[in-house]
Amino acid sequence: MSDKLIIGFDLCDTYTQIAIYDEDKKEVENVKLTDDLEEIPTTICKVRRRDEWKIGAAACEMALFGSGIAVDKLLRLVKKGGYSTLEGTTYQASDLLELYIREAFEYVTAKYSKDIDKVVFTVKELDCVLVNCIVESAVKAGVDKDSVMVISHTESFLYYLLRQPAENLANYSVLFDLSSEGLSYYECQIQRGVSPQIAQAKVTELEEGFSLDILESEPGKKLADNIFSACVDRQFSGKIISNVYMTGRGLLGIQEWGSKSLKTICNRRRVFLDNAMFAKGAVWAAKMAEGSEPVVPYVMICDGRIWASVSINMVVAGAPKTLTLISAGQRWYDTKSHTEFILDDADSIDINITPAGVKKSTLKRITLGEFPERPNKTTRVGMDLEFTSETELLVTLKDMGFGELFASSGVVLRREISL
Amino acid sequence: MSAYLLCSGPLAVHPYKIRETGLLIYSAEELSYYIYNNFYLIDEGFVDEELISFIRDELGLGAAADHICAMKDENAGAGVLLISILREFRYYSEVEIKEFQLRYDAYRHNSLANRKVMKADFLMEHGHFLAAIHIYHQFDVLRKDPSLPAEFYMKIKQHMAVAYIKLGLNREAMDSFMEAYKQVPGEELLKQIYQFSLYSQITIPSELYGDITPEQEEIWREEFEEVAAQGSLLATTGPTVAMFSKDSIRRGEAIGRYIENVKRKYRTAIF
Repeated sequence: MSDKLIIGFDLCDTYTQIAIYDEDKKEVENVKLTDDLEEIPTTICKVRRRDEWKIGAAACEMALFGSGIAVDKLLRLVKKGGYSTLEGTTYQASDLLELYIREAFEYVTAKYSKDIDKVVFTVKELDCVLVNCIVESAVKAGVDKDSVMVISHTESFLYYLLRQPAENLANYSVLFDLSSEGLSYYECQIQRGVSPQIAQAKVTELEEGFSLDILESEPGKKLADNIFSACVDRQFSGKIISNVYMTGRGLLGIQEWGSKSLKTICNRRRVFLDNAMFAKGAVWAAKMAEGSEPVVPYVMICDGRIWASVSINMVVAGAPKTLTLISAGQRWYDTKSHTEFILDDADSIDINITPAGVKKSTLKRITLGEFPERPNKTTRVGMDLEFTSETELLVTLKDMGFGELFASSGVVLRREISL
Repeated sequence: MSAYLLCSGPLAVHPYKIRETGLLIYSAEELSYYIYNNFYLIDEGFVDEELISFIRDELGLGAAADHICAMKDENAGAGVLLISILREFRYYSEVEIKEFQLRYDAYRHNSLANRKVMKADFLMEHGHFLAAIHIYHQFDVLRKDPSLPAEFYMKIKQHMAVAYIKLGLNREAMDSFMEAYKQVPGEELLKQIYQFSLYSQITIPSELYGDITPEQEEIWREEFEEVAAQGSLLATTGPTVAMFSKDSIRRGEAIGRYIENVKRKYRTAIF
């Protein structure tokens, strides 16, 4: 049995789920958190007049009875760069998130009497500020920076899907997620006829989302069924879908409230229900990142991953070549590239953008008007590429001069390219 | 056709100092450029163990270093070694390397004395006046090589005079002009001496007075005054004046760049 934990941490504004890899059973299991719940509210509470913190249902209960002060919607607060004042002390949202993650880690490590080896957080929507804050929080809680990753729910779904037995892996699969966060619809398409093979997923937030509270009453259940079945009809219209996945607390009890919806969903389709799909997908992501699981043979295109390759036509050791600087399918927020080259009769930089699975490239040109005039082949350029979002590529071009022969002018150009 | 050449590797942490010029080299591309454009300054022992170690250890081009080393062990000539470096680094195309080979071979076909003068002239062209004078001095008119014509020594002294002028050493320049004139007297050189005397306010040595006719003097004086007038215009609009007309921040930056450039020239002039 491994002496360290591999954790998938589904961190949402309203709820948290954690899954771990069970070395004995060789499978992923959902962790029962505080109060024996598989899903806890993402809420932190400071115990009054004590430097003590509670999270989850215990935090809500404590706040309800007045013995503590709770803060919820932590992720939204972090994205806004907000803060909260508790008993006269101001806490930055990032500090509160760090405390929350630390408490959760302590709970899991105490429960399994193991340290954390790798943790992959999965969030509904990737945001630079949030990603950095989560990584910093995990590092402060004692996890090595290289052992922390943050991925989107879409990517988690892809990992979950791609770990299914081959016979369950259809070319086209969909996922409904009904939780306290709302109703989301995911589509995953697997392209096997291209090289490399592509697994592409996208998410649509559906307006039909409803509060899970309505499922407490009979009329509410009927209403929910009507809403959801209409939504399913609309999404399935004109599509050949063989596999349907469902997740989220709302769909966990669909047999009790959604007979009409299930009739449509289960019509000649295979249907899979799993309450902790994103957390489990995150565990598989962690397993693959640590190298104990074979890497999926697909380029993954989804939220958080770059959908196009970035390349440049260059002369390499005397021969013309297309040099791929960033490959499609990499995570945009931790993908960087640095290249140094010499301008040969060139006054601009041409960058090729090639979508995954497509052969034709789009050319993006950056003119170097501010670079100084020099004899040919005496300007060394340092080019840095990084993404500021999935679709925005920041290109930094630095005039490095040519040693002592031609000193650098210090000119640095920054251009944002929209993919 | 425009292109981008992928650099062979990162810049060297410990640069290679070229003995002849003191220039620091940080990359294979810089070394190629230096060889291609400065072969007059490169002597027989340029490709030595130190340079090969630099290529291997600092530039990380072990295979290239091994190849050059093997050629050196086979007693390949300096030109062959230089060309093999250019070929290994692929900074220049094959066409450019062939053109270099022609230039280099033509240069090597000259006598040693001529090659020295070409080197000194090259240094002059690139503003390394002290270094050029140092080489010109090696040709002592008192210990003439009988195989070299008087015109050869005349040219050397004439170029030396120009180098002195560039350094502001007018007395030494006039002496060099006079030595040149003693080697091969001629009208063109006489005119140069006369106009230099007007410029430097140094009186022409008395022995030359008889050689200059009043007509020549008048024409040369007029020419000089015309050129001097243009020079005075340049002095009020040139880059140095422009440097001082900038605002205080940009002036500081411009002066800094100017001083750095002068220091670099000074550094590369000493060897």
